[in-house]
Amino acid sequence: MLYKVGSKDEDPEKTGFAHLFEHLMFGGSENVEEFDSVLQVAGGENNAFTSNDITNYYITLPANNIETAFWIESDRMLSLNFNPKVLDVQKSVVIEEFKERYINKPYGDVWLKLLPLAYKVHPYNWPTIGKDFSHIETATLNDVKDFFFNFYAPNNAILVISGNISLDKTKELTDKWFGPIPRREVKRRAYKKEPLQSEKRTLDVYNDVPLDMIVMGYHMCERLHPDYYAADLLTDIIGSGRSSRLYQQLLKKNPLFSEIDCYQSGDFEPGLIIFEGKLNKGVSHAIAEEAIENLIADIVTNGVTEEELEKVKNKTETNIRFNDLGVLNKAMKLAYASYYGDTDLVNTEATHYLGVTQNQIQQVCAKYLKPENCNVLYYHSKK
Amino acid sequence: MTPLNRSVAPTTSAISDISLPKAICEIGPSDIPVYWLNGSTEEILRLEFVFNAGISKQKQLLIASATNSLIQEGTLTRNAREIADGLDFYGSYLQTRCAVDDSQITLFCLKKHLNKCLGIVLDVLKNAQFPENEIDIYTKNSKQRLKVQQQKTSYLCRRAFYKEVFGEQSPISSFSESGDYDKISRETLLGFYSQHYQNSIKYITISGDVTREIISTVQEFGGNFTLDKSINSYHSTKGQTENRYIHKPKSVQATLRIGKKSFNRKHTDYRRFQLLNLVLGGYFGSRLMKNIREDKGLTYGIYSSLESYLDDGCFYIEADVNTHKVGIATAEIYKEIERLNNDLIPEKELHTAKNYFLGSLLRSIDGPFTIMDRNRLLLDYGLSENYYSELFTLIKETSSEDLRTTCNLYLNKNSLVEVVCGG
Repeated sequence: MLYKVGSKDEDPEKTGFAHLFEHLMFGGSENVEEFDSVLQVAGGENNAFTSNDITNYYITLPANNIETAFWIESDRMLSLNFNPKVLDVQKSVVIEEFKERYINKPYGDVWLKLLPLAYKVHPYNWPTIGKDFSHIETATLNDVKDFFFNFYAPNNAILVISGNISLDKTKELTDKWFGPIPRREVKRRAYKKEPLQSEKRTLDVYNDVPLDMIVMGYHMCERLHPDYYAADLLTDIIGSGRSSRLYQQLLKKNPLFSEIDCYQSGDFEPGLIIFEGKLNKGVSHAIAEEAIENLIADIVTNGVTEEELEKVKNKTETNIRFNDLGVLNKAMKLAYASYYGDTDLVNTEATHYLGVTQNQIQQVCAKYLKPENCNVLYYHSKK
Repeated sequence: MTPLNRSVAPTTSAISDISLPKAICEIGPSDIPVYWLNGSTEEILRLEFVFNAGISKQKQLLIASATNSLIQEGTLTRNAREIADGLDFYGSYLQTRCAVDDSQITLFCLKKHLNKCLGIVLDVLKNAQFPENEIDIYTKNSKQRLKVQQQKTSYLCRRAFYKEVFGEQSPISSFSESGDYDKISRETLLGFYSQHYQNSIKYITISGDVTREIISTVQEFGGNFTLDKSINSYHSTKGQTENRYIHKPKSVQATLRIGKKSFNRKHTDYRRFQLLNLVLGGYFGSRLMKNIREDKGLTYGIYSSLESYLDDGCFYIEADVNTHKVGIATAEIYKEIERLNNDLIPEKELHTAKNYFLGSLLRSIDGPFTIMDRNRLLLDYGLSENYYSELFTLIKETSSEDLRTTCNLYLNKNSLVEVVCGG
């Protein structure tokens, strides 16, 4: 069950709310006091996650008990029970989550630092956990109710069923359990597009970390932009696997880094292409940054080889096939495609990747991976 | 049409049976067992090459894992880059894994590329060279990663716990310091390689879209090796254990582990202990999760586990908790253990736990790879092929009294050791 609400829909003064709310969805609804135990009795399991764009809830259970999932999932769409104790406890739980994932381990705060540097007006400015735990501490039951009745509406949700069930049965159960829930008016905060960046931005981070690190985030296109597939393959050519350019050139041939990655953030609206590398002893941030920029410049000038492109296309084909294996993966993929507004994408995705040309890769590289479009974090280790 | 009554739960039916599709073993012209399992229409394959080359086989720290990692960094005729290019070009993945009991090389590929990939895998297994410069890079990078690990309370706590429970000598508590990496030599790696990889193999598995032709190809591949029947023996006999506190300044959370040495999957009480563990801390509805997270909000997550090795085992509870609340969390954990020792688990709770247990068994056999993983457990531990159907019956028949007895036998507060790492 995908709800079209994520951290980008939050009030900049009340960040982390969409994710806190995800926790509250397990705290009991109008007719189902204990969401989890009802499901466990039916042999099922569930979880959820929140992103910048969406909140996704999923349940896996034996096919003959599917109606239990319809019952509890529809009931928490109908109404939560808004228990004040649940809110209090989950605030503490989320604050502990904040510490566990973002503070109590070295480099856990990368997103807390990088996003505000890269986004000045768009709400991708903060991570889903929120800017700070004070925002979570101040959430009230009224905030919870407003958020629920504004976003948790049937007309703001996508339901996907996958597994051993017929279409007729699916329709029958959907009508029975979700049919009676009325539409709600969904109001979204207006926000601006992130303007084009015209100058490189940098930030020095002095933290209790064991190694120097560099993180470089370049703005890229949105998910449905024609450049998306070329940009995604470009990050694979640069940074995916042992044969990639970063691994071969900057970890093996000229070992400046002990670990180095390149990936894209996978957002629906314009996201980031990120380089993240831990520096070897004696390597300065300036040298590391220059090496990455030279590697990019080489692609801008000379392009990529036919073999490289064929390789990442083959990898993509393998990934798509392996991912299509389980029922849960299939459901997730359908939910995302439908959210993007093109459900058929689950069938056509591979074709989009196969159609990318060497020329497009080179153009996309020149268009997005340029210095004035870049946001850099320099992590300085404690000497 | 009658209006929908949402206060009444839809009827559910109990899981009536669990049948694990059995991997078929074929021993080809060589002695090497090839286990295969067909179950995909996606034209994909996973091949596992399993060696008796785990940590329990090493005589010097890090040698087993270093051999395993560096095996794909160069052969007589291919350098590291050519190996990586060769596999990546066909969209294939070669994963290496080194555990306490065994090590393996796993190939993921599309069916149409199998033969090309197998050629590279064979080269890696027969002709690896462990070039000095690759050892240098590996050593340097591993030391960097270790530095990062050593800053984490979870790592420091885990390390101290295993050393406390299994003693310094057990392969399970084989943690290394930065200096141990400097002692790795090419000769030692080549020695370990020739003894445990080059000539002998434990078995091979194939799962996915398997055909007759593929089985023959893999059997032929197996013909390059002899069967490794060696066993692992390292059962630890450490007696007294002590509680440990590791100070890590400025931590905003402390990692807490409470547990003990126990037994492995072969023990007759293992399955009941699994169910008891589930009730205590093995799922989201467990007592620890409900008390420490859902009632008191002291942690993001708390769980308990049984860890099974071929010649040992342990039980532990772990959580990252608010630094100032370690005392309360620990007291509540012991309270929950006492309750299980004294009081019977209510019928409703036991019913839920049993259904969840069986449901997760079902979920764990979704798809050819996970079914093969389950088959491998039976193989490795020498368990009967009826293990899962027996498990099914045993779980159904276990009573609250049985679980209290299990708890009295194995979860005595005085037998548990407590390790905390925090500020």
